[in-house]
Amino acid sequence: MSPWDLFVSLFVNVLLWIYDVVGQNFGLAIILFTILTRIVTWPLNASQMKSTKVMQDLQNDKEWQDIQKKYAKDREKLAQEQMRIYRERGVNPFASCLPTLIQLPIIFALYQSITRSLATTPLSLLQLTRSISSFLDVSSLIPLNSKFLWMDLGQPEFVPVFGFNLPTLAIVVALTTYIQTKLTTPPSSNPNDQSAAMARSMSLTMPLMLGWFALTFPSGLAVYFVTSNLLGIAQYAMMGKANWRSLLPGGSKPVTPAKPSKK
Amino acid sequence: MTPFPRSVINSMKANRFVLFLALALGALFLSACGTPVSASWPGLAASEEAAYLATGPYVYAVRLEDGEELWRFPEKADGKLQFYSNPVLTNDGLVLLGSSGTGHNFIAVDAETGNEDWSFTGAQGAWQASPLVVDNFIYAPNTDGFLYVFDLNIEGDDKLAWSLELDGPLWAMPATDGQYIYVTSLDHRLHAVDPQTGSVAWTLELDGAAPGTPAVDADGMLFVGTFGKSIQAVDTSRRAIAWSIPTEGWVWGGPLRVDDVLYVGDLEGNFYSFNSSGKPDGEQFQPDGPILASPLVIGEQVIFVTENGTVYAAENGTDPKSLEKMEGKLYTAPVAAGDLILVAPFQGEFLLVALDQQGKQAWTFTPGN
Repeated sequence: MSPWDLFVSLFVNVLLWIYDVVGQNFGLAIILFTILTRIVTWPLNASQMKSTKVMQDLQNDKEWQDIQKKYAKDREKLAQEQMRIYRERGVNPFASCLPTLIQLPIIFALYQSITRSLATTPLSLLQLTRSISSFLDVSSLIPLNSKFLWMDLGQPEFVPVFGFNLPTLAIVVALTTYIQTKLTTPPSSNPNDQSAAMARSMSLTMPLMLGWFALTFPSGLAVYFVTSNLLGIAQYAMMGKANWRSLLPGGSKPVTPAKPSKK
Repeated sequence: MTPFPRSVINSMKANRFVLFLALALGALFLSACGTPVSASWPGLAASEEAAYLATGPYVYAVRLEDGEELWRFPEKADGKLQFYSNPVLTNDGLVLLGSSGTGHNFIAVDAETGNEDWSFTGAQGAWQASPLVVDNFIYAPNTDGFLYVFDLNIEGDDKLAWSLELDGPLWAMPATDGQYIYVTSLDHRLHAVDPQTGSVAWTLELDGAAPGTPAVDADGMLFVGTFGKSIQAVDTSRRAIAWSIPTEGWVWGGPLRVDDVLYVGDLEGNFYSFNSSGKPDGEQFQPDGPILASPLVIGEQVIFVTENGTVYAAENGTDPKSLEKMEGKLYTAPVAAGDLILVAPFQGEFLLVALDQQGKQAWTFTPGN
């Protein structure tokens, strides 16, 4: 078994243990497991949110904007000046991406553990049987009860409305992803702010991409997306950093640029 | 000279740990998603002229004489259709195929031409199980928990006669004793369905999920392997478990009954033979790997295959001997076609291999473009 398989197997065992404890309800198990992983990665998320905000504030800093203009044609000098400002302000430009890098395998393993646990094909059922530790009575757990509310978690979700199959969960996934992205993106006063432009682009592409995943993959994954998004919004709100105005039309007005720091 | 400003390089040195971590995680990702994994292993069946191999987006008809492709269905891959269950032949020259993809199509194609004859798209789940054909009726279990029954006498494309909800994912091909249709489910139950009334005559609780087809004998005994690590014998006249024999591992494939002996393998890599009273018939044999597929009888030999890619043959109660070891994993039950033994390796060099009864390779099949 490869190290990655072992990592996913660990997730599968925790997920199935929760499933067993909560009375063999896989939807509830996914929600609780998502909450658990969010709690474990809370410091990383908090660190990422903090670092993103610091980097965003820096983009609006007058001194930062000045060196962009002054050394626009001298990339080496510009980089030196940027590094100087990072040092002076105690900013680590990698600090915002490091927590993301650490979280990505967790998200990926969570996705794989959900699909592996649902075991919709003989091959995935075989993989599942080999992922489970002896402390779980796997014989009694199989087949997993994939029914949750109106959904079959092993199938993409649709609700028939007037003869049309409406993908309600995919819409909720796209909506909550959009809200989370908008809330966590501070407005920028700098028209040349590349990170702000990237954030604007992300606020459109991420909801579409995750919505598409929810539309085509088993709905158990969509339950994870929605839970994760809602927890992300809650965490940001608890840290007092949610920009609720940005959800309103025209609410993304730029903030006042931060004052330059004393040298 | 470097293409990067010195300050950037210094910064990179300062953050060596971060970069190392990023690379390590990148390698982890590549190991996780670099190799696309097939959704499952192939399904296999054979007539007197051709083998029918269901693997991924295509079902291939392969000439038994020389292993040449006769046709493939569909001609162009449809992203919604994935075929893995064993195809089944009807008496009137149709091949029945069930899709396990997002398109839940049950399709009957002409065995000669590969052209679609009729199809059914009303199921909500995948067709993991092969259907059972009895006279002109087709009994097709689906993972949505329904048994769909088609009547080939019905004119036109809509051949659905009736359907019956049995609950639990249905993964196993049904069996019959002429009176009832026996359907096992992953939710640990055996259902006896009365085809005359279209209702469940009786249901029995098993000790685990049963993904394999039961074996039924003329004396009214039914034998089924389960994930409860056992072989269970059901006395259908009493509608009760007659005996239950523990196995070391889960039993995936259905047992094979030849004369008075029952042959079955388990996931721990054991091959058993029992008599109809549940007493061992000969020594328990340990081949080179787990056994998922049902055994096959051809001539005087009982053939079984292991996950490690070895084909074994047992004869006259002697210890099984290895006939051939091939590249790939053998999860699909071997199929007899005349004097040939057909095996379909999963993730191997060939999709289909024909062996004679001494284990000598007759031909191999790999699809062209």
